[in-house]
Amino acid sequence: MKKHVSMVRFSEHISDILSYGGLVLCIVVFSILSQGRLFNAYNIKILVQAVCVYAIMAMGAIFIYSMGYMDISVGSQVGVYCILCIVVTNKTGSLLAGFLTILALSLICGLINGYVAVMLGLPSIVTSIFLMSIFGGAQLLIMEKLAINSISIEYDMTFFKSTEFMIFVIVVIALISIYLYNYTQLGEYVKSIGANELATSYSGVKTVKWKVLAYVFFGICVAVGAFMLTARTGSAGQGTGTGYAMDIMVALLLGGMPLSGGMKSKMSSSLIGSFTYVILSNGLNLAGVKVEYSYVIKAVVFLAVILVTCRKKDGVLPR
Amino acid sequence: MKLKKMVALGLAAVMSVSLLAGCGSSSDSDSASTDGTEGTKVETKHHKIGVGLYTDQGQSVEAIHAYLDGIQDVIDCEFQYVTLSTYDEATNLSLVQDLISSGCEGIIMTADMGTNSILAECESAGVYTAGFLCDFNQSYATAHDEVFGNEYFLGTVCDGYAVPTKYGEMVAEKVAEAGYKNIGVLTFPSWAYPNQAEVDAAFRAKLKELNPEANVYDTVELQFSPLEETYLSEHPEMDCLFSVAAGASFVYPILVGAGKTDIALYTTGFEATDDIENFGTNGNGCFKGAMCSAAETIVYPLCLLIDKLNGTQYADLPEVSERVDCEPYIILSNEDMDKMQKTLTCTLDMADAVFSGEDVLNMCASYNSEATYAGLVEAMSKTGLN
Amino acid sequence: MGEILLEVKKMNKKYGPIVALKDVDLTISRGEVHGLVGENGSGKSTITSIAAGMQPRTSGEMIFLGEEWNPSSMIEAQHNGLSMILQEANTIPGCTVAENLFAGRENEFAKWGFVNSKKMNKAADEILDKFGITHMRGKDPIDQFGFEDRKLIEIARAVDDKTEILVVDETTTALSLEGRQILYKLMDDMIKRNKAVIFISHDMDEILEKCTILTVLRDGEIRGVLNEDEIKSVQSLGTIRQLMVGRDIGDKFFRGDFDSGHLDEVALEFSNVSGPNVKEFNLQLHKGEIVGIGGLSGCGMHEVGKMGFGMENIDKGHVRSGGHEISSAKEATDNKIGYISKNRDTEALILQGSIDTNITMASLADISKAGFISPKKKAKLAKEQIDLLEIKCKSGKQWVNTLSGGNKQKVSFAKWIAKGSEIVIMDCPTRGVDIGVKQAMYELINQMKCEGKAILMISEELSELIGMSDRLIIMKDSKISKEFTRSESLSESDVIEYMI
Repeated sequence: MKKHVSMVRFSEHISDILSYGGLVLCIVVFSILSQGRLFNAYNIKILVQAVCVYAIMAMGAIFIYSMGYMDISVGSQVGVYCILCIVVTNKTGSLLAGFLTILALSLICGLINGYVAVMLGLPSIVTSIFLMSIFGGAQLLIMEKLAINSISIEYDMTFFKSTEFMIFVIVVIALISIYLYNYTQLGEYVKSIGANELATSYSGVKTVKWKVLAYVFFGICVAVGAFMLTARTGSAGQGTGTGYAMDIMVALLLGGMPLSGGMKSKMSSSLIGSFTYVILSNGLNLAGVKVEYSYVIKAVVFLAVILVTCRKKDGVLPR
Repeated sequence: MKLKKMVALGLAAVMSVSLLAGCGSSSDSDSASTDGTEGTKVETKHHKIGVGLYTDQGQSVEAIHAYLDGIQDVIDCEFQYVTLSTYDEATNLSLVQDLISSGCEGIIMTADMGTNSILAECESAGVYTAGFLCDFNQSYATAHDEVFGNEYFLGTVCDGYAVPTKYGEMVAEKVAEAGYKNIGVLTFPSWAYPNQAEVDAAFRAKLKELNPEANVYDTVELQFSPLEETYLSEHPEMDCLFSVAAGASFVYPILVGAGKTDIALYTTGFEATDDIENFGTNGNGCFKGAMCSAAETIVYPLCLLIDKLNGTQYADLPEVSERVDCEPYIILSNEDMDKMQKTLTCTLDMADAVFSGEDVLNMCASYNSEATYAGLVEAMSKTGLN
Repeated sequence: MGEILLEVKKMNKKYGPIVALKDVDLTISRGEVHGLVGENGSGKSTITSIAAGMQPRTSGEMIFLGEEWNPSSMIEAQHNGLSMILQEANTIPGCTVAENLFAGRENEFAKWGFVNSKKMNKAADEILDKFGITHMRGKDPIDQFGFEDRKLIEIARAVDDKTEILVVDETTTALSLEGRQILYKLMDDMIKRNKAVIFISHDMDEILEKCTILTVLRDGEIRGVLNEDEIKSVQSLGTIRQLMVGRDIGDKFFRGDFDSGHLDEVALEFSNVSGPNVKEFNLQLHKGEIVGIGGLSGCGMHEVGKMGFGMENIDKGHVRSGGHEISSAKEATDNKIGYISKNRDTEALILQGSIDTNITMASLADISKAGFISPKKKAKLAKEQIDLLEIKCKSGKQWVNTLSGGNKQKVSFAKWIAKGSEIVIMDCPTRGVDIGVKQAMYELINQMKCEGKAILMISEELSELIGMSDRLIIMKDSKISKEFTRSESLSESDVIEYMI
């Protein structure tokens, strides 16, 4: 038992290799099947556009998933943020006002997600279900009040939806996330909370404080992501945002993020995962794969990644 | 354990690659079509057209596939399909971008979601779009100039009538005739399908006029999920149900489950399964009415796109793009159903199509100098049962 | 010599390039308690885990009860008469005691697919009575019991009438004196019935007392076998230690001096502290002083340790350090208090984390500059501790769960040394640690004292309490029952009477 070292190390690396390998495999296979279209300038541009929102939110989500938690309220949060951003911007004529509104709201959500869960001793999934319902309801109510299906922004978003700006935002968020995750207490503690919360608090760490901070940072990322989404489509409606919580979870898993969090969590999972997720559907479309098959292929790729990254601990006594 | 995982991974890889390879090669063979074969005299130009459908299953999707497969060689077009989202703007934009990226020169869409941003994208990429099975009501009402006035949006043909009240009135007549007393109405949420509320209203108004005695319950919105069984127990005396929302898949199974197939079901949509077997006097006779549009109506956006791509246009093409009606299949009797079963939508057989590939070529100005836009619109009125 | 039960011939075990066992021959006969001793990683557990079907051997032969022996699982081994009690906790949470006792055997109580739980609980009670475990009943939920009681359940589960050989692998480390008595009684009973026991332990006292034959291992090889007479001889301990370590470590095991002096400054003060399982506890811990606290496992001494670190609620009284009230772990660490938990794997270490991470966990706030933690600084801090404490590892990146027990414990020490803690509360600091590391730990603790650090050592091992403490406090029923000052003449029997 004590000399498993080399084997343990090897299998640790498998998940590393696979998370990159999945991306590399997707790129290789699809660049062949799409006859090189994967790499033409237009496709690179639309890949970046499609990745942008996922990547920004996934980078924030890494902090939450590292602790072994998850947040399923993202989707409805995004929906409300998009609508509010448009409403406030249209009312005030100031895009900044719109953005600040949703930023403030997202910070409050972060506090609720973090504090309420700890104070009431609830699992974080419960508070996020609670927030999901509240926001889902709010989304319906606002749209009902506005009495239209979909609302469009009147502000000129040309600059904000340019690919250059998107790359800029991804890079900025990535730099901040990498810094926070690898070079500050926040990053260290979210990982150690995921690995062993009790031992972390026995090291004199106020876990509550860091949990809340992690949720707050995630909230900021969600707000920025929602803003970029608004910029990209220029409109939002009752259904906007639906599915994002799941998309982000899938992207992170494809990037090799363990659902249980802990020390194996890596920031790179968010970017690799988002790209893999986007290239997977983009590549299938470029290759002209029929819709029926594309589901099967997505499922197979997903399963393959999960099998390796989320292995069970080896039990001692099989029962 | 390790070994098993490796084997599983290997299998997964092999499976994906072989699936991909299979699909890749099948689309290759299409391009080897022989346009100049006997019969066709016109010189056709090859085009690749993207088709974004609102769903990926059901009889209507199969019918569309069957029809486009049937005419693609003659009209020298290649089709690529994606499944659009009914709720997320960004997803649709990404899918359209994928289509553009894979070389589509024109795109036919069946959903009006994120249309502004999609058009902006198409404009910058020089790709044309047109609609089908969709009234683009949202854009029509709130962004008419930006969408219908856009050079890259060529128009759309609705799923039936743009003002859809006619079907509601026809159902009301039948319901009054049969003398049903307690009637329920189901729709999809009005934010997604505002037209269904109009159908509902027209139905109620007409029924009130024809049979003031009839009791119509408050409308229930189905959230894209099957009807709750409690609805049936809350209304035990109900004898007729008008489901403007897709009844064959969301309502009929619930009726069967509750043993209430004696309720007369009028619905929209057509699945060509239970709704044929149990229509009118057949089977348990639960289905009394159904409505759907012919797959062949895709000819409207298709001709507009082909002409645009060939650089020709009808002499009488209107300045601003239009949305036009098509004559839907309205099935309210056994005779209607007999006729319905001979359509391409039911048989998936190209021989039953309303327009053949040659007909389509004849409707395009670029392949037939005598073709007119009025002719194309008129063709849309020939897609019904009569 | 009784009839041979298990014979191991030329057994080898390799993990890749690492040789864990090298041509090991071992014979277990009826009526013997066969001790296996050696430092961590010497191969003791490897032999028994192969014999119990937990892992395959690389080469060699095993004969059990006269037949070729190749068990494929622990269950198969147990059915055929070879049972093993493990080091790690192995009960199923959320079930009753009876369900745990009969896990995998519910069918014996089932009729028409329903388990007759009444019948099962009754059978469980009978088994518990047989072992002399009276405070647990079959119907009780397992979760209400502590680690030790759960261990007893495992013991009761492992042994039945069919058992010919019982393997006890470092089980006693988890048990208090009462628990050990139950286990010893079970071992005696096995011998009375002419069965055999394989006994693995780090506690030399019990090894010497219980074993009738002793095999010493080092680096996967057998270095010596001692018969009963040799075990009982006066020099046996020295001989065994020498065989284990490969060198003479001498008599100087604990502190050599008997000077109980310390600095005057009070480092940590408990005044009239009451709380769960602790009543009116008073203590002044001075700089440069080692205060030991001993007692039976439920006497409240572990709670005192947690209170000193702010991790246990205090109902009355105060815990202060340098004028600051200590009521949370954060306040404790801010006041340079460190705490080494008894439950190393759950409370002290992040097993699924690197050595670096664990060592620096408490010091991150100190080494961060304007929020920035330099990876170089972090690695350096860890490296210093790895070198200082001679933690055996390939690099600081290695995961803690790959380390041996002794090295794990060194890591939990290192965490607080790295932090620069002036006051260290250690609960069972040498638990599950082999003799070589144990000696190093004692040296380290002594050195910390010399540096002026205040040490509160809570332990279940009387020998180390007597050997190390300047003052020894004995607790009984949540209260202090006696205080001893360091002296050469203090013996275990003097102390025990105040514990029970």
